[in-house]
Amino acid sequence: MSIFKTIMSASIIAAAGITTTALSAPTAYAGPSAEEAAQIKTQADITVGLNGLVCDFCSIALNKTFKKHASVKATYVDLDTKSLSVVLKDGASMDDAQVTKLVKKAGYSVTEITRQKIMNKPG
Amino acid sequence: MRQTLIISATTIMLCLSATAAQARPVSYPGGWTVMLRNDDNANSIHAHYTPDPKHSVGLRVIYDRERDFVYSGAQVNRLIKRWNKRDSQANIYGMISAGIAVDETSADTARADDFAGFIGLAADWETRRYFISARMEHWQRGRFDDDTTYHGRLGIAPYVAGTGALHTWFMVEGHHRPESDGVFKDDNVGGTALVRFFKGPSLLEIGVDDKGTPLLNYIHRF
Repeated sequence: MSIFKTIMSASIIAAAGITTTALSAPTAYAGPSAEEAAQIKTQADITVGLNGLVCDFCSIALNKTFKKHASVKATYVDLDTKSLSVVLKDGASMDDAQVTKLVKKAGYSVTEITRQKIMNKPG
Repeated sequence: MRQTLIISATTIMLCLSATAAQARPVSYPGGWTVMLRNDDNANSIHAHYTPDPKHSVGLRVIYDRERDFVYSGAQVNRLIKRWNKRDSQANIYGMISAGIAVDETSADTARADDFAGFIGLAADWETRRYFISARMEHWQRGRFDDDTTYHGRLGIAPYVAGTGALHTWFMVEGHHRPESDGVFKDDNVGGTALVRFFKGPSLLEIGVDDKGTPLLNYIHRF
Protein backbone atom coordinates (compact mmCIF):
# COMPACT_ATOMS: atom_id res chain seq x y z
CA MET A 1 0.00 0.00 0.00
CA SER A 2 1.36 3.42 -0.94
CA ILE A 3 1.99 6.11 1.58
CA PHE A 4 -0.84 8.14 0.06
CA LYS A 5 -3.32 5.34 0.58
CA THR A 6 -2.14 4.91 4.16
CA ILE A 7 -2.52 8.61 4.87
CA MET A 8 -5.94 8.70 3.20
CA SER A 9 -7.06 5.84 5.41
CA ALA A 10 -5.78 7.67 8.46
CA SER A 11 -7.57 10.85 7.40
CA ILE A 12 -10.85 8.95 7.00
CA ILE A 13 -10.48 7.51 10.48
CA ALA A 14 -9.64 10.99 11.81
CA ALA A 15 -12.72 12.44 10.10
CA ALA A 16 -14.89 9.73 11.60
CA GLY A 17 -13.45 10.52 15.00
CA ILE A 18 -14.03 14.25 14.65
CA THR A 19 -17.58 13.64 13.46
CA THR A 20 -18.36 11.27 16.29
CA THR A 21 -17.08 13.85 18.74
CA ALA A 22 -19.06 16.62 17.06
CA LEU A 23 -22.29 14.65 17.00
CA SER A 24 -21.98 13.35 20.54
CA ALA A 25 -20.96 16.67 22.12
CA PRO A 26 -23.25 19.12 20.38
CA THR A 27 -22.96 22.07 22.71
CA ALA A 28 -19.24 22.38 22.04
CA TYR A 29 -19.89 22.90 18.32
CA ALA A 30 -23.45 24.07 17.85
CA GLY A 31 -23.28 27.43 19.55
CA PRO A 32 -25.28 28.49 22.59
CA SER A 33 -27.60 26.24 24.59
CA ALA A 34 -31.37 26.69 24.34
CA GLU A 35 -31.31 28.83 27.50
CA GLU A 36 -28.47 30.99 26.22
CA ALA A 37 -30.20 31.33 22.86
CA ALA A 38 -33.42 32.48 24.54
CA GLN A 39 -31.43 34.98 26.61
CA ILE A 40 -29.68 36.39 23.54
CA LYS A 41 -33.00 36.76 21.72
CA THR A 42 -34.55 38.52 24.71
CA GLN A 43 -31.62 40.86 25.20
CA ALA A 44 -30.96 41.52 21.51
CA ASP A 45 -30.33 45.16 20.66
CA ILE A 46 -30.78 44.39 16.98
CA THR A 47 -32.85 41.73 15.26
CA VAL A 48 -32.11 41.17 11.59
CA GLY A 49 -34.51 39.40 9.21
CA LEU A 50 -32.59 37.39 6.62
CA ASN A 51 -32.93 35.87 3.19
CA GLY A 52 -31.05 32.73 2.20
CA LEU A 53 -30.92 31.14 5.63
CA VAL A 54 -31.26 27.40 4.98
CA CYS A 55 -28.77 25.52 7.15
CA ASP A 56 -26.41 25.54 10.11
CA PHE A 57 -23.44 26.50 7.91
CA CYS A 58 -25.37 29.74 7.35
CA SER A 59 -25.65 30.19 11.13
CA ILE A 60 -21.92 29.67 11.58
CA ALA A 61 -21.08 32.15 8.82
CA LEU A 62 -23.26 34.86 10.36
CA ASN A 63 -22.19 34.20 13.95
CA LYS A 64 -18.49 34.24 13.12
CA THR A 65 -18.73 37.30 10.88
CA PHE A 66 -20.62 39.36 13.46
CA LYS A 67 -18.57 38.21 16.45
CA LYS A 68 -15.42 39.58 14.80
CA HIS A 69 -16.91 43.09 15.08
CA ALA A 70 -15.71 45.01 18.13
CA SER A 71 -19.22 46.17 19.07
CA VAL A 72 -20.79 42.70 19.23
CA LYS A 73 -21.13 40.81 22.51
CA ALA A 74 -23.28 37.84 21.44
CA THR A 75 -25.28 36.57 18.48
CA TYR A 76 -27.84 33.89 17.74
CA VAL A 77 -29.22 32.76 14.40
CA ASP A 78 -32.72 31.27 14.45
CA LEU A 79 -33.36 29.13 11.38
CA ASP A 80 -37.10 28.95 12.14
CA THR A 81 -37.72 32.69 12.28
CA LYS A 82 -34.95 33.38 9.73
CA SER A 83 -33.46 36.02 11.97
CA LEU A 84 -30.20 37.04 13.59
CA SER A 85 -30.23 38.43 17.13
CA VAL A 86 -27.34 40.70 18.03
CA VAL A 87 -26.44 41.81 21.56
CA LEU A 88 -24.07 44.77 21.58
CA LYS A 89 -21.40 45.49 24.16
CA ASP A 90 -22.22 48.20 26.72
CA GLY A 91 -22.07 51.61 25.10
CA ALA A 92 -21.46 50.19 21.64
CA SER A 93 -23.54 50.92 18.59
CA MET A 94 -23.98 49.59 15.08
CA ASP A 95 -25.95 51.38 12.41
CA ASP A 96 -28.11 49.74 9.74
CA ALA A 97 -25.45 50.18 7.07
CA GLN A 98 -22.91 48.28 9.18
CA VAL A 99 -25.43 45.52 9.87
CA THR A 100 -26.28 45.18 6.19
CA LYS A 101 -22.60 45.19 5.24
CA LEU A 102 -21.78 42.37 7.67
CA VAL A 103 -24.76 40.28 6.55
CA LYS A 104 -23.71 40.72 2.93
CA LYS A 105 -20.11 39.84 3.83
CA ALA A 106 -21.35 36.58 5.37
CA GLY A 107 -23.19 35.83 2.12
CA TYR A 108 -26.81 36.67 2.91
CA SER A 109 -29.26 39.55 2.49
CA VAL A 110 -31.33 41.61 4.89
CA THR A 111 -35.13 41.77 4.83
CA GLU A 112 -35.58 44.02 7.84
CA ILE A 113 -33.73 45.44 10.81
CA THR A 114 -35.50 46.06 14.09
CA ARG A 115 -34.04 47.58 17.22
CA GLN A 116 -35.06 47.09 20.82
CA LYS A 117 -35.90 50.25 22.68
CA ILE A 118 -33.47 50.86 25.54
CA MET A 119 -36.32 51.06 28.08
CA ASN A 120 -37.33 47.47 27.25
CA LYS A 121 -33.89 45.98 27.60
CA PRO A 122 -33.47 43.84 30.74
CA GLY A 123 -30.78 44.66 33.28
CA MET B 1 10.29 13.71 -4.09
CA ARG B 2 6.88 12.32 -4.96
CA GLN B 3 6.31 10.94 -1.50
CA THR B 4 7.59 14.14 0.08
CA LEU B 5 5.08 16.22 -1.90
CA ILE B 6 2.21 13.94 -0.99
CA ILE B 7 3.17 13.78 2.67
CA SER B 8 3.61 17.56 2.86
CA ALA B 9 0.27 18.35 1.25
CA THR B 10 -1.64 15.80 3.25
CA THR B 11 0.05 16.71 6.50
CA ILE B 12 -0.87 20.37 6.02
CA MET B 13 -4.49 19.44 5.51
CA LEU B 14 -4.59 17.01 8.41
CA CYS B 15 -3.00 19.65 10.63
CA LEU B 16 -5.67 22.14 9.58
CA SER B 17 -8.40 19.70 10.45
CA ALA B 18 -6.80 18.91 13.79
CA THR B 19 -6.10 22.41 15.03
CA ALA B 20 -9.18 24.43 14.11
CA ALA B 21 -12.95 23.94 14.14
CA GLN B 22 -20.86 22.74 1.06
CA ALA B 23 -20.71 21.39 1.07
CA ARG B 24 -20.15 24.66 -0.69
CA PRO B 25 -16.73 25.52 -2.12
CA VAL B 26 -16.77 29.10 -0.78
CA SER B 27 -17.27 29.73 2.93
CA TYR B 28 -17.43 33.00 4.88
CA PRO B 29 -14.46 35.43 4.92
CA GLY B 30 -11.75 34.10 7.22
CA GLY B 31 -13.22 30.59 7.22
CA TRP B 32 -11.32 27.35 6.60
CA THR B 33 -12.97 24.24 5.23
CA VAL B 34 -11.74 20.68 4.91
CA MET B 35 -13.59 18.31 2.57
CA LEU B 36 -12.89 14.60 2.36
CA ARG B 37 -14.60 12.64 -0.41
CA ASN B 38 -14.32 8.90 -0.90
CA ASP B 39 -16.53 7.49 -3.63
CA ASP B 40 -16.55 4.67 -6.15
CA ASN B 41 -13.84 6.27 -8.25
CA ALA B 42 -11.50 8.27 -6.04
CA ASN B 43 -10.39 9.49 -2.63
CA SER B 44 -9.84 13.20 -2.31
CA ILE B 45 -9.05 15.95 0.16
CA HIS B 46 -9.84 19.57 -0.56
CA ALA B 47 -8.84 22.16 2.04
CA HIS B 48 -9.54 25.80 1.35
CA TYR B 49 -9.50 29.25 2.88
CA THR B 50 -12.04 31.95 2.07
CA PRO B 51 -10.44 35.42 1.95
CA ASP B 52 -13.53 37.26 0.69
CA PRO B 53 -17.23 36.44 0.14
CA LYS B 54 -16.67 35.46 -3.49
CA HIS B 55 -13.52 33.33 -3.48
CA SER B 56 -11.74 30.49 -1.77
CA VAL B 57 -8.21 29.21 -2.37
CA GLY B 58 -6.81 25.88 -1.31
CA LEU B 59 -5.20 22.56 -2.04
CA ARG B 60 -6.73 19.48 -3.55
CA VAL B 61 -5.27 15.98 -3.53
CA ILE B 62 -7.04 13.18 -5.38
CA TYR B 63 -6.18 9.51 -5.60
CA ASP B 64 -7.83 8.13 -8.74
CA ARG B 65 -8.28 4.44 -7.96
CA GLU B 66 -9.43 3.45 -11.44
CA ARG B 67 -6.33 4.80 -13.17
CA ASP B 68 -4.01 4.61 -10.17
CA PHE B 69 -2.52 8.09 -10.00
CA VAL B 70 -2.45 10.93 -7.50
CA TYR B 71 -3.25 14.51 -8.45
CA SER B 72 -1.99 17.29 -6.17
CA GLY B 73 -2.82 20.86 -7.04
CA ALA B 74 -3.85 24.35 -6.02
CA GLN B 75 -7.51 25.21 -6.50
CA VAL B 76 -9.42 28.49 -6.69
CA ASN B 77 -13.21 28.54 -6.32
CA ARG B 78 -15.39 31.50 -7.20
CA LEU B 79 -18.97 32.17 -6.20
CA ILE B 80 -20.28 33.47 -9.53
CA LYS B 81 -23.82 34.19 -8.43
CA ARG B 82 -25.96 33.69 -5.34
CA TRP B 83 -29.72 34.08 -5.01
CA ASN B 84 -30.90 34.56 -1.43
CA LYS B 85 -34.65 34.11 -1.08
CA ARG B 86 -36.87 33.97 2.00
CA ASP B 87 -36.99 30.15 2.03
CA SER B 88 -34.20 29.14 -0.28
CA GLN B 89 -30.70 29.79 -1.54
CA ALA B 90 -29.21 29.06 -4.95
CA ASN B 91 -25.60 29.33 -6.07
CA ILE B 92 -23.41 29.00 -9.13
CA TYR B 93 -19.71 28.33 -8.60
CA GLY B 94 -16.72 28.20 -10.90
CA MET B 95 -13.61 26.19 -10.04
CA ILE B 96 -10.13 25.97 -11.49
CA SER B 97 -7.18 23.89 -10.37
CA ALA B 98 -3.63 23.29 -11.57
CA GLY B 99 -1.09 20.80 -10.29
CA ILE B 100 0.74 17.59 -11.04
CA ALA B 101 -0.34 14.00 -11.63
CA VAL B 102 1.91 11.25 -10.29
CA ASP B 103 1.64 7.57 -11.16
CA GLU B 104 0.98 5.16 -8.32
CA THR B 105 1.62 1.99 -10.29
CA SER B 106 4.81 -0.03 -9.89
CA ALA B 107 8.05 1.62 -11.02
CA ASP B 108 8.56 -0.51 -14.15
CA THR B 109 5.20 0.49 -15.66
CA ALA B 110 4.83 3.98 -14.19
CA ARG B 111 4.12 6.92 -16.44
CA ALA B 112 6.22 10.05 -15.97
CA ASP B 113 4.76 12.83 -13.85
CA ASP B 114 2.72 15.32 -15.83
CA PHE B 115 1.03 18.66 -15.35
CA ALA B 116 -2.72 18.45 -14.85
CA GLY B 117 -5.69 20.58 -13.98
CA PHE B 118 -9.36 21.14 -14.39
CA ILE B 119 -12.06 23.73 -14.80
CA GLY B 120 -15.45 23.13 -13.27
CA LEU B 121 -18.88 24.54 -12.80
CA ALA B 122 -21.27 23.73 -9.96
CA ALA B 123 -24.77 24.86 -9.08
CA ASP B 124 -27.12 24.17 -6.20
CA TRP B 125 -30.55 25.10 -4.94
CA GLU B 126 -31.55 24.38 -1.38
CA THR B 127 -34.39 24.91 1.05
CA ARG B 128 -34.57 23.44 4.52
CA ARG B 129 -36.48 20.50 3.03
CA TYR B 130 -35.17 20.00 -0.52
CA PHE B 131 -31.75 20.02 -2.17
CA ILE B 132 -30.68 19.90 -5.81
CA SER B 133 -27.13 20.23 -7.13
CA ALA B 134 -25.13 19.62 -10.28
CA ARG B 135 -21.40 19.68 -10.99
CA MET B 136 -19.22 19.37 -14.07
CA GLU B 137 -15.42 19.05 -14.15
CA HIS B 138 -13.28 18.95 -17.26
CA TRP B 139 -9.80 17.54 -16.65
CA GLN B 140 -6.62 17.83 -18.68
CA ARG B 141 -3.95 15.43 -17.41
CA GLY B 142 -1.46 14.82 -20.23
CA ARG B 143 -0.22 11.24 -19.93
CA PHE B 144 -2.99 10.44 -17.46
CA ASP B 145 -5.91 10.98 -19.86
CA ASP B 146 -8.38 13.82 -20.15
CA ASP B 147 -11.99 13.48 -19.18
CA THR B 148 -15.17 15.24 -18.21
CA THR B 149 -17.34 14.18 -15.31
CA TYR B 150 -20.90 15.14 -14.45
CA HIS B 151 -22.57 14.74 -11.07
CA GLY B 152 -26.12 15.52 -10.00
CA ARG B 153 -27.77 15.18 -6.64
CA LEU B 154 -31.29 15.28 -5.18
CA GLY B 155 -32.02 15.41 -1.47
CA ILE B 156 -34.93 15.56 0.92
CA ALA B 157 -34.87 16.15 4.66
CA PRO B 158 -37.28 13.87 6.57
CA TYR B 159 -37.71 16.63 9.15
CA VAL B 160 -36.80 20.30 9.30
CA ALA B 161 -34.13 20.74 11.96
CA GLY B 162 -33.63 23.91 13.96
CA THR B 163 -30.46 25.80 14.80
CA GLY B 164 -27.80 23.55 16.32
CA ALA B 165 -29.88 20.38 15.95
CA LEU B 166 -28.89 17.29 14.02
CA HIS B 167 -29.91 17.75 10.38
CA THR B 168 -30.54 14.57 8.39
CA TRP B 169 -30.90 14.27 4.62
CA PHE B 170 -31.69 11.36 2.33
CA MET B 171 -29.98 11.87 -1.00
CA VAL B 172 -29.35 10.22 -4.34
CA GLU B 173 -26.40 11.12 -6.53
CA GLY B 174 -25.90 10.23 -10.15
CA HIS B 175 -22.74 10.52 -12.22
CA HIS B 176 -21.81 10.33 -15.86
CA ARG B 177 -18.21 9.76 -16.97
CA PRO B 178 -18.31 9.48 -20.77
CA GLU B 179 -14.59 8.72 -21.07
CA SER B 180 -14.45 6.02 -18.43
CA ASP B 181 -12.91 3.13 -20.38
CA GLY B 182 -14.33 0.35 -18.28
CA VAL B 183 -10.97 -1.36 -17.95
CA PHE B 184 -11.50 -1.84 -14.25
CA LYS B 185 -15.28 -1.49 -14.09
CA ASP B 186 -18.26 -0.33 -16.08
CA ASP B 187 -18.47 3.18 -14.72
CA ASN B 188 -19.90 5.44 -17.41
CA VAL B 189 -23.13 5.93 -15.51
CA GLY B 190 -23.84 5.22 -11.88
CA GLY B 191 -25.86 6.18 -8.87
CA THR B 192 -25.32 6.42 -5.14
CA ALA B 193 -27.81 6.49 -2.29
CA LEU B 194 -26.59 8.30 0.78
CA VAL B 195 -27.55 9.73 4.13
CA ARG B 196 -26.20 13.11 5.18
CA PHE B 197 -25.80 13.98 8.86
CA PHE B 198 -25.12 17.59 9.56
CA LYS B 199 -24.58 19.26 12.90
CA GLY B 200 -22.91 22.59 13.58
CA PRO B 201 -19.72 22.77 11.53
CA SER B 202 -19.56 19.02 10.74
CA LEU B 203 -21.15 17.23 7.81
CA LEU B 204 -20.90 13.48 7.30
CA GLU B 205 -22.23 11.52 4.34
CA ILE B 206 -22.44 7.74 4.24
CA GLY B 207 -23.71 5.87 1.22
CA VAL B 208 -23.38 3.02 -1.21
CA ASP B 209 -23.48 3.05 -5.00
CA ASP B 210 -25.24 0.77 -7.47
CA LYS B 211 -22.17 -1.48 -7.65
CA GLY B 212 -21.94 -1.85 -3.88
CA THR B 213 -19.01 0.52 -3.38
CA PRO B 214 -19.27 2.54 -0.16
CA LEU B 215 -19.15 6.33 -0.10
CA LEU B 216 -17.85 8.36 2.83
CA ASN B 217 -17.67 12.13 2.69
CA TYR B 218 -16.81 14.53 5.47
CA ILE B 219 -16.77 18.32 5.60
CA HIS B 220 -15.72 20.51 8.49
CA ARG B 221 -15.85 24.30 8.56
CA PHE B 222 -13.65 26.24 10.95
